[in-house]
Amino acid sequence: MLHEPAVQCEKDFAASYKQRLGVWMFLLYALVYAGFVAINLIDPAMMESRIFFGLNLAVVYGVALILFALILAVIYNLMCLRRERLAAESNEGGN
Amino acid sequence: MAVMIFVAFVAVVLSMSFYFARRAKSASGYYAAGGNIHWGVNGVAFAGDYLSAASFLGICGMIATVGYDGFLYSIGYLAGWIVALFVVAEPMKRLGKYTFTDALDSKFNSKGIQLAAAISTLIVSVFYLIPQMVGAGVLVTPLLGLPHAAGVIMVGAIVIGIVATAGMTSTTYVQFLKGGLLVIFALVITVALLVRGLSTEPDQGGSVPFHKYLTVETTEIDGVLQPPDAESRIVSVATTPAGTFVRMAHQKKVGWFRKEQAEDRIRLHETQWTSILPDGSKTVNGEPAVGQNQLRLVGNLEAIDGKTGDEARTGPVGPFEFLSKIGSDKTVVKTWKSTKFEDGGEKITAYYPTLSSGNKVMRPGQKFKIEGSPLEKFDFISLMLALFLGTASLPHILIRYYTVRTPAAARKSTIVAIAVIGLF
Repeated sequence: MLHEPAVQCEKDFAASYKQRLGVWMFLLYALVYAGFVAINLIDPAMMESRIFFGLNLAVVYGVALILFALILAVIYNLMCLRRERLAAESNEGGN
Repeated sequence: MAVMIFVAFVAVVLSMSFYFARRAKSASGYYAAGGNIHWGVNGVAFAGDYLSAASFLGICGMIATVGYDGFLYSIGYLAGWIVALFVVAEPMKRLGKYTFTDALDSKFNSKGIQLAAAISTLIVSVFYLIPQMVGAGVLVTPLLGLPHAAGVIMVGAIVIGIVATAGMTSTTYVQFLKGGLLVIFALVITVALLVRGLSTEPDQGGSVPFHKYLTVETTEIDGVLQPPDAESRIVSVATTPAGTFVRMAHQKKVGWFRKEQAEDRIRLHETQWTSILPDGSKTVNGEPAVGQNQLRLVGNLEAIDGKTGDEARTGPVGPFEFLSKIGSDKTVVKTWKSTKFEDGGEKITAYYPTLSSGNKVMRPGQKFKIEGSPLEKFDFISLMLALFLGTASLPHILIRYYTVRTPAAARKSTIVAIAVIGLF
């Protein structure tokens, strides 16, 4: 195996911001995910309770976790794109 | 028809592999597709990688047999992509190496890390490949009518051919095709299912008559089981950890029945069964296992919202109504379990039905006993944690961050993957 970069990347001036943002969003999602696990452990019968359209909490929470992942991912991408653009503009201005 | 489609698909992907093989001239081209894959294609390829036999056979099978506990895997796997997106995707890409091991090695230059990484890669890959290959054999047998071993060897050879010829470029486009087809056909099946609706006597649109399983009441005299009527005869009785099974001649046929004792009455429930005779030949439900004599498809609703028979037939339903009907406490779901035992030199496998109410099936607890002992609860926590953190560690997922050009493209392809896998 050659120990050389697979692809040469340009310097990413927004890297530290994206890393911080990623960790915070990860913690937010982990909290919601932990809530799902906690309800199942503490009060499993609550998962049977009907929430809306005849769907129980287990189905609603489970599907919500999937949708929440997608929504967070899109928000994360938009925020990263914005910061990358700002970083690129300020870098160009600085040069 | 199935064979023709299979051959055509294999011909297309192998042609693609040989085409890309001519263009792959460097290590970067072979191992990382030169970083030239579009993030959209890479995202769907992520889904193709991810929706392997373990997902599209395993999760569907688990949902069918243990209900919501199978769906836990879908939730956990998808949540794992959040870890991949927020914590792994861009930092991995910025490391700029071919593999995670390569990145670690370039930073620490340690023989110990190389050895540990090599051993763990081999162990993970072997144990990951085994179920994939078994899944390939399981699929090929009913679809193409080939023996299990032939399916494993054939699919293994095709996969090696695709990977060896053009590395990540061909692998990516094959996975892109596979991921796209899986999502499209999963959508088609879902729509077809909703249009057909729910029924307590599913007959595949009239093409396969619904088999109504017998339940007969009987008695015991001095602890000896009696036949239910004068024309029936008890042949033998087997006691297993799964219960008592009774071989009985009934209605001019011999079959295995599972005994259910409730207060003052005894019921015998018809099972499906296979038998390996002392001479090595196999029977299914008492007849030689040849041609059309196979185990019947199982798994149905015994009651829908408290109704049975024609009255229970829903006709077309929306997704919310579909889930709501199954999750009703008046819905009864019939799932199947199996047990093995011996009887007079025959090796019997009996498949017997169990009934659960819909509200229990549509929440965790059928497989993972969250209301059980502390150890069983710990088992559940362990599963959810492994699913959440495991995705981001899968080698075939990590390698795909190198096939796109920039960290931003790695990020975008992960979001496409989340959307496609979430839809699935």
